[in-house]
Amino acid sequence: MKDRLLLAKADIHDISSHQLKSPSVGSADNQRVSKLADYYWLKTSVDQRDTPEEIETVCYPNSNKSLVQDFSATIAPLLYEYQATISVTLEHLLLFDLLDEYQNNSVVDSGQIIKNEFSELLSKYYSTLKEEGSVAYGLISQWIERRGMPAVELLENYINLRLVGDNIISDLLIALGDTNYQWDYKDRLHYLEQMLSDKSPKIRYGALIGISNIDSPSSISRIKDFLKKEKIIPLINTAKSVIEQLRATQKE
Amino acid sequence: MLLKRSKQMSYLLRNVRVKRWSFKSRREYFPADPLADLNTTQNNLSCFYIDDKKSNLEDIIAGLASNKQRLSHFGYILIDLQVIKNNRFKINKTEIGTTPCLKANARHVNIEELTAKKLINFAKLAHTSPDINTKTKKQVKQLLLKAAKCGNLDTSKMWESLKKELGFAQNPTSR
Repeated sequence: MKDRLLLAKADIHDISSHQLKSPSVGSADNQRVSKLADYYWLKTSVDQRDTPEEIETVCYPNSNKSLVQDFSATIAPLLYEYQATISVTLEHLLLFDLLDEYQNNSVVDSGQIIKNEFSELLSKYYSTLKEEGSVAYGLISQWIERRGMPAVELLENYINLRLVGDNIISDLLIALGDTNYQWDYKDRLHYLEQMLSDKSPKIRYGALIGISNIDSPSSISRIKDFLKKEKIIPLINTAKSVIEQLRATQKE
Repeated sequence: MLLKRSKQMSYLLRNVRVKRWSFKSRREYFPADPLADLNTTQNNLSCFYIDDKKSNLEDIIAGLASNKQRLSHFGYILIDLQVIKNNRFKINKTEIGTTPCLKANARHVNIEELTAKKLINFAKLAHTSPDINTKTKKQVKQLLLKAAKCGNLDTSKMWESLKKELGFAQNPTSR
């Protein structure tokens, strides 16, 4: 625990050493970020034109790569998303929670916080009408958008270990594609394409819709391969519909 | 039970979750999940009429999608109207639809006097349809924007959350 906190502190000091402006945060985590900034005087500056890769370089010109790898995977896309507003990653918000907990002599694991959030979401999912196009349906994709990579990893873990049923996995795959969290879209796309080979038709359906939500024409050939093997009519029709969309995107 | 296509086909459309219908039916096996897409009110099942060339299919999908809280993909089944009639389902066209799309509302029909047994038969018939399909979220968005542009949508009846996603102006009087 102590080591992890020291690690976070080192990361944050690494950024603050670049002598940049004070934070103004436009996210729902405003209060927590401000509190964190009070602690560490977290500062950075990002040009609106910067890509996530450039932001990463700005943040860590001289740092130990392995030390900052996790941090950069989450902070860069967030900074990119907010376009020059200052933000802090989930990882650090969680570590801030950890710090609070640590100071209160209570031990909490950061992964556990994300797990708890996800469990809460799943119980909401179970208790509401899960009709497509309902607000409840979008809760998981909004959560992924807010929490970034740790959420994606947890979700993939739930799917791989089949910790939930096929119906829910199908919706999780749709949510995985349906988020504006663009940083890791290639990884998510690759994952969804793999799920097209799943033995469950419901899961294959979720993967198809997830892919359509990412809307990358690079998936056309993979879906064509899928069509050669697929026997279930609704899935064949849906796959054709997705190809139609991706072709239209290609022409845009 | 298999659908036979007649020369001049018109259809009934029912909004469904396609994943529930994505299975291979076997002689003695039909899963219960698809029935969740066939909720009845006073033993009536709400459907929409699609003409033989499917020229109004996009209007109907836009109408039903405009009734949702959020933008999403849209699953549907088209069932041959003649097959419905041949299987003695009673169809009533008098009750108009309640979507924000007037064009779609005019094409609303009810399948009436359903019993549990008839509903299961209907589900089995519907599952044999070759037209169980999905419009992707992006395609639905395009249909909604097109319908709005043509003046087919009463945006005051749409959810604010959906209008926001479509980039429509906020209307304080709407839901």
